[in-house]
Amino acid sequence: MQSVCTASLLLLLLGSTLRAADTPYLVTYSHRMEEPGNLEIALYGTTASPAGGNTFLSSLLEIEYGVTAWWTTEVYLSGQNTSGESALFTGHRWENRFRPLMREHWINPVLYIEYSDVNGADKSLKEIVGHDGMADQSEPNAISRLERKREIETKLILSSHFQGWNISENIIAEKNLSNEPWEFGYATAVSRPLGLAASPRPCRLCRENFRLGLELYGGLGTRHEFGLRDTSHYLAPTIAWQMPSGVTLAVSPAFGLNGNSYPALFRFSLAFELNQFGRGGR
Amino acid sequence: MRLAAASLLCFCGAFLCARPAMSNWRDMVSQEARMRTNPYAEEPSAAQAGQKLFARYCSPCHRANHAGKWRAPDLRSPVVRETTPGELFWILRNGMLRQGMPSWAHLPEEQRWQIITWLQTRSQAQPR
Repeated sequence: MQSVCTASLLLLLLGSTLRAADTPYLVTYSHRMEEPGNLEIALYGTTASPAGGNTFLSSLLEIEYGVTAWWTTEVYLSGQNTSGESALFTGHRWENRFRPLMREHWINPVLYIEYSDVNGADKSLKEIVGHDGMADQSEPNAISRLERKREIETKLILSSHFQGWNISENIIAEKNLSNEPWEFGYATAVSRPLGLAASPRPCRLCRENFRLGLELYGGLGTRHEFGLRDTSHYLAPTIAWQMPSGVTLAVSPAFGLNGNSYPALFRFSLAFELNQFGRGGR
Repeated sequence: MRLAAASLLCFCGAFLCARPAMSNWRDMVSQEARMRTNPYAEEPSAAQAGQKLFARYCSPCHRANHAGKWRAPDLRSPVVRETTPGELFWILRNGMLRQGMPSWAHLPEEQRWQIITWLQTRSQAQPR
């Protein structure tokens, strides 16, 4: 079974219909939607070694599909491995992004809605909301996995392109369905490719294949305690490399900005797209 | 509260699903946008770069031979040949989201102009 999966993955990576996503962000969303008919498969990883805790590696498998040019849907499967404890599947998410304005503007809004069903051992830190902090994740997996979290998350994504730069802001509101208050958060980012014009020849290390960015994200408390008190925040430089094989690799060290945050997180992603998935033929 | 949320969802759904009749997209382009000129016009290196970008971003739908497939139109058609660089730039920036053409505004302007250079070089080489 494992060899079949490996062979399938290699075939996918070598296939001629691949083209990778070209966003450098690992937390923030821009208004770029998946092209209609394209299927993106991505693996996101987050690792940290908290002081007094065990090193963990959290993994998210993302399957994203462009239903139309203004609607993108994604499914995430998440798991984590904590050193000295266990490796476990932590749950799934289903998200949808809608672009309400049909043309490009100075600021382009996208509406985001996500349903997640994960257990308390989830350490993907896909977004930081409310009073999320390092202390929340210090419990052993054996205990934290018993907690089940069903949540609805909404985001207002605002994004602009200007002279090669992308500037994106996400305003996040998340509600645990078990009668807990709304939690809020933010993510903001800026990025630019190293080269604006493409070189005429195929190349591996051309400047246009690299994008540099900077992300800032964190929590904003809850409906009852809105503000920065007891919240965590991160500043994260990011770099993405679009490889000639069509795969995009992005890495991002994130640095905690206060005592509630992990001092350092390391995030990475590996993504590729299958163009016009299921729309062959004619 | 729930009723308001449901109403908002219905409104958004109806708005997004509404598909107005497809008029000529060129009518939507402002005169100013239409008159923009390609800074890379007739530069062979820009056409080469544009060919590379076309293969990466456009050919999955429009095919390597520009013939189009699915809902993507044939780029060899006379209508496309008559389109000005400014109009092509407008459609690459805005797309036609309801008709399935995505926006390519996330590509730097320079790369969009390189794609247009390739399209025009290719269309000039075609027999009329």
